[in-house]
Amino acid sequence: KKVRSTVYRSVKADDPITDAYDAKSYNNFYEFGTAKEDPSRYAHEFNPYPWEIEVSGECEKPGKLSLEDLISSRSLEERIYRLRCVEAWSMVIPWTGIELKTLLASFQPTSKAKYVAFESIVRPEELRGQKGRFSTIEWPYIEGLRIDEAMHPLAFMAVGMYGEPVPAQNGAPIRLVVPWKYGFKSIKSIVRIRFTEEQPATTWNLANPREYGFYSNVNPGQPHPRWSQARERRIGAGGKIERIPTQMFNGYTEVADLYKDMNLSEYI
Amino acid sequence: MFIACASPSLYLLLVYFINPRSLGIDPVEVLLAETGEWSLRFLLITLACSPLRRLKVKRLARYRRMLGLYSFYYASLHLAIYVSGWIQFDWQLLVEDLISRPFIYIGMAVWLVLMVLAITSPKAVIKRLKKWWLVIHRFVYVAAFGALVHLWMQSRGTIDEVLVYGALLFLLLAERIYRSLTSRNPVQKRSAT
Repeated sequence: KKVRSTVYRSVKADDPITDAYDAKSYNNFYEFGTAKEDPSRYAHEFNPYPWEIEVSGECEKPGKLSLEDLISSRSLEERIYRLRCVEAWSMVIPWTGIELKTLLASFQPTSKAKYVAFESIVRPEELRGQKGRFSTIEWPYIEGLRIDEAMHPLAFMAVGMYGEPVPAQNGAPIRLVVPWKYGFKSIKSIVRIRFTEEQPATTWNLANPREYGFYSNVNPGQPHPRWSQARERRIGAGGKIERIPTQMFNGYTEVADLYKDMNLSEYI
Repeated sequence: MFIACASPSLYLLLVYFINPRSLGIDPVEVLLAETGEWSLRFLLITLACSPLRRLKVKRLARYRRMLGLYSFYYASLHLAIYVSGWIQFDWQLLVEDLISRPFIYIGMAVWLVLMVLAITSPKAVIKRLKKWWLVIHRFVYVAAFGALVHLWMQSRGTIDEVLVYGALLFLLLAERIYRSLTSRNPVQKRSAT
């Protein structure tokens, strides 16, 4: 797989990169189970290849896109982003992929496309977390962005992580990375993209709207009902864990314009 | 028995101080979860003593006070890890948590109840308190229920654990209610809890 890579460092150099091992073995991907170590433990049960994404809804050129086409037709770039989980831990991860805008634009969304909805794979025979009977969330996992958020240059579609294909536990083979929002917005193992006129119903928002808003921008001033969001546990280089202040929009203040007319304590 | 009850905490703390990474990527999180769960386990084992005695399994009942104290011990460890490792002595946050977060203040209330029960557990105090001891120690049910709610409130995505512990607690309570309803002389019988 030939990759022409351009490096785009969008995190400050003083944010040391989390060890690859940590980022690959401590994460949430409930499709494999709810414990942090479940995804890496059961990842081998999932075989993502071959992969196709179906694009539909309010666009001129709906259709299917295979992973091969996506990778071979575009040059990939690397981005090092902070990832802030709503549970108040964070990491710094290098991703390889393409700007979400580039991908979405090729399907020519119409003026009716006010939102984009993303859907993850459902394959209970390979994803044991989807078999759980007492799960409080429903499958498929669905996430969404407002179209202007999706078109922001920071919104990223990743196919690689630490210079390798995204491992199954982190959302192989293709996942979203929206660095100024809580991690659960960055949906993994995407099989469907839909342009919609109405705000899509999203998984965590359906499960508990009081705790997980549609926007879910990282916001230290807006506490989660069960814990403060003012600080985070940064799982940094060498496995070192530090309790550091959380920044508005996870430090990506260039997105503030997207929300300039909104009261962010209301639109959580 | 004493050592058996202490061993989960000894093991966890030993591993934490020798090689924390072997507990997990975030060892403090593991310590927090494990000590909390052991506290609830000991609380349930304590509550199982008297039903087991009625089933002619008498050995455990002899250790009931110690088992209860162990529940308090693990709850105290849990609290200490929360304050020192999790929020790292951020007192302002602690106050904020205690005022505005049911998840935290329910947990704290459970710890306070367990502390009162622990303080009133020596024989001399039991004698001094007479029938009040029984009234005070009824609060063990409040603590158990609170601990379950606390566990439930930290759950995300699945409630398997809550259902298992909840079912056990329900069973232990149901047995007591059934007994008090069917016994002819409930007052006298109940004093044997």
